[in-house]
Amino acid sequence: MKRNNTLSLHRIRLLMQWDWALNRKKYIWEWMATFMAYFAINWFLLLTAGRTHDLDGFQAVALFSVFLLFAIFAARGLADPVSHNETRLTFLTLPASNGEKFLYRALFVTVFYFVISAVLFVMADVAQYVCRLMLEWGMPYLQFSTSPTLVTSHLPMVFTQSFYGMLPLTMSLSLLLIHATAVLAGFLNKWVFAVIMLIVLRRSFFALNWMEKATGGEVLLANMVLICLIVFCWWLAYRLFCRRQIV
Amino acid sequence: MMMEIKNVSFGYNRKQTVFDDFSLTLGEGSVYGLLGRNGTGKSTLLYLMTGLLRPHRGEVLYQGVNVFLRRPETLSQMFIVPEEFNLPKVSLKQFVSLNRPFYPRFSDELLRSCLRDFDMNEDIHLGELSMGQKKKAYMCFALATNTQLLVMDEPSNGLDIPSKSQFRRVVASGMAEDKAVIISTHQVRDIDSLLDHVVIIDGSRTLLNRSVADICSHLCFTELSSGELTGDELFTQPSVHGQSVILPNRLGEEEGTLNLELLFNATLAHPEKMAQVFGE
Repeated sequence: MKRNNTLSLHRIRLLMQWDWALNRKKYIWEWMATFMAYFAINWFLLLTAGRTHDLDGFQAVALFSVFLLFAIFAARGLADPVSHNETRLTFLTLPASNGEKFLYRALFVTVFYFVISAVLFVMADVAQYVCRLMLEWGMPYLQFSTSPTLVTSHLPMVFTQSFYGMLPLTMSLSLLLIHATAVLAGFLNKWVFAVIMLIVLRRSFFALNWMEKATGGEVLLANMVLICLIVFCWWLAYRLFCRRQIV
Repeated sequence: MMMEIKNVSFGYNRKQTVFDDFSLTLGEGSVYGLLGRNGTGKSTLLYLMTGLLRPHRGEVLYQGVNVFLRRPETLSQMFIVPEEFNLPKVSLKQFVSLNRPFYPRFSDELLRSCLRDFDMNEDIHLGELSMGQKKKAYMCFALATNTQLLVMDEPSNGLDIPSKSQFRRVVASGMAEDKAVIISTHQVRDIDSLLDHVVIIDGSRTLLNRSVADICSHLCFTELSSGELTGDELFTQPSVHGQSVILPNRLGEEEGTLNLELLFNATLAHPEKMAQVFGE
């Protein structure tokens, strides 16, 4: 059986170990900052929810938007090892293929970051519960485990109902496009990144209004275009990654 | 040939062309000295060899494979020690344990031997070392990877005088028939006793690509007083004792000692004359 020398799970695992061992302090600081941000948002939601247990749609969308922002900045971090002078030479000469290096970074800033963000989110919720217990302030509760909750009702509602007239698949694809654009923009300088993200976000909100009047065929076409754009962004990001040089 | 640079053109921008249709081949089993003026592209050439830069035209092949593809089997056979580098703030042992799995020929014995030669021990923390010590530690790791190609850019910069002779000993002890070491440096006196092969480049031209034995069989490096000059000298330059000169080495004469600095100056000053000596 011919061995695939350009995509080895063993080397991907070695890359992850290497990256974690050398950068864990930086990641832990980032996660602590994320935790503190979620903790602050938790308290904000508590205070704006008043005395009720329910979180209204606005708070759900606000929370979701913050989560999306973190996902965008995490996606931009895919290019980090090849964007910084201090790490670029070491990373480029590390004996792993471009595909392996790109795949491990992609997994790290998507799947792993998503899981970590969700864990931090829940930890922040538990922390606010513990704080309220200690401060003896009101009736402490976990915002995401009681019914109706953000996770079991409001967020799914965003995706399953005709939210601003936009079908759930189209909305999901739009979010994936925003994420894919952030991945691509990570290979550009931060000002170009900011401009591109503003344009993409603005266009996404514009599309929300357009979708209210769209026919089924137009929605299908829009979904196809979104999928193509998502694939294009990831493909172009990979090409830019492979062509990265020391200077 | 181990390394083939074929008709390479490269520039950092449109106004600054570093190489134009440049070619060079390097084989294994030698320690190469890569010499050239400031800004002539020595570091750029090293980066091209190790896939860190992509030529605009032409190709750089390592054992027949384009280095810019950055294949793991290619990258695991080469290691570059750049002039400036960053080491993570971890212990040497941890640094080794993280990086050695990527280099299948890594040798603990070589690492220990190199550290011993540099009077360093294994229980060091990279974050607590001076620049010179970091350089020595990094060079020990580089040699211990046991790669077939080791590239070093200004390796003796930052080393104290004892460390420079230790460096020569360490590199010489790590050599083998299937390996090549390419050292780019201005500090010619730090490496002249180490080299087997001299490559002098200027702009897009290779002015000299000869083994030390070949050079010494064609040229004689000596010191003469001003009154002893006969006009047969290929090159002269003032020295403390009078004139440092390069003379053609007559057939049958014993091979002399290479004066790398003199050779370098002569080649840059009279490239055509030097090429004629070697029948080019």
